[in-house]
Amino acid sequence: MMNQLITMEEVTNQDYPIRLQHLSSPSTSIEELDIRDFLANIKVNLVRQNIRSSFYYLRSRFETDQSSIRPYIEIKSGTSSIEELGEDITRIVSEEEIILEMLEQDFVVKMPPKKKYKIQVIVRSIKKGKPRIVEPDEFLIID
Amino acid sequence: MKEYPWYEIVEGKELLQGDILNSCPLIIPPLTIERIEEVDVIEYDVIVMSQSCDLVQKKLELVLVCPIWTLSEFENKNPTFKSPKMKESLRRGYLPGYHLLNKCEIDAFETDYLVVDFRSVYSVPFDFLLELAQQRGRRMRLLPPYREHLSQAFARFFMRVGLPVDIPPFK
Repeated sequence: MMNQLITMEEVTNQDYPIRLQHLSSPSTSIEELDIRDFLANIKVNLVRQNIRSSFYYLRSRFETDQSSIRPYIEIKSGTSSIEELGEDITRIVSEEEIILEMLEQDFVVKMPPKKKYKIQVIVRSIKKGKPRIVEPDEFLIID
Repeated sequence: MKEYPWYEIVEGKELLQGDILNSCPLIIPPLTIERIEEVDVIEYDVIVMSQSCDLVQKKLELVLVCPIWTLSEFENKNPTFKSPKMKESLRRGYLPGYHLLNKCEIDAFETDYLVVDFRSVYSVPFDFLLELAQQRGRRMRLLPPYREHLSQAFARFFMRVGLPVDIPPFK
């Protein structure tokens, strides 16, 4: 049996979120739209994640001077070690990583006492404790 | 810029929040109580957690204390904390059960960074702690605003709520 594909023109439900209309022709099916929308979202998310680290990476690769009306941008002539680049990226990523990791697991460290020994005690009496009433501080009553 | 020292050295019987007492003995109650008992005693270096106003006005019979360790002792017990990332998260307060205090550089009281363990809270009779403070002589006292920062961290740890069913994480 052939699948009947609904086209954009046939959609009347206002609640259906159709985006990226510039990508579609009137004959584009809803399924196709969904796929395009999904792929576009993935792309946006990937770009968002990388844009910060890419910016720092690129900035470290160029010498720039934007103080004049003729900005100066040139590839850095000096060499830089891989370690230096690695550190840069680690520093950028680590902040988010730390937060996420800490949220995911709450660390518990069982620390032993500095000293442990036994003593003998004689139980003099066992009685039910009584509540200790702490008098509240005097406070000012304003009429 | 104004400097805010972390510690001062005090002595005597006046106890305040943030006072550090070395080798404070804590009695661990046995499982059952008989007339004559052999009980365990453990000793920790502790920091006073009860509020200063309650201590000054003697409104408490029991004083809350938490164990402290140097960061190096803490690292040795759990090597995960040797990584700069873990230490950084400890410094930033991302580990709710622990609180990091600065090094002390006062002569004769030099210490490494100190880690306060909020999970092990003990209550000690006030009179006993006053006597212990007197016996120990000069001691370190955490100063404001770090004292209030410690208190706030403790409150944050204590007031956590674990939900039985949380909103599923966003993918």
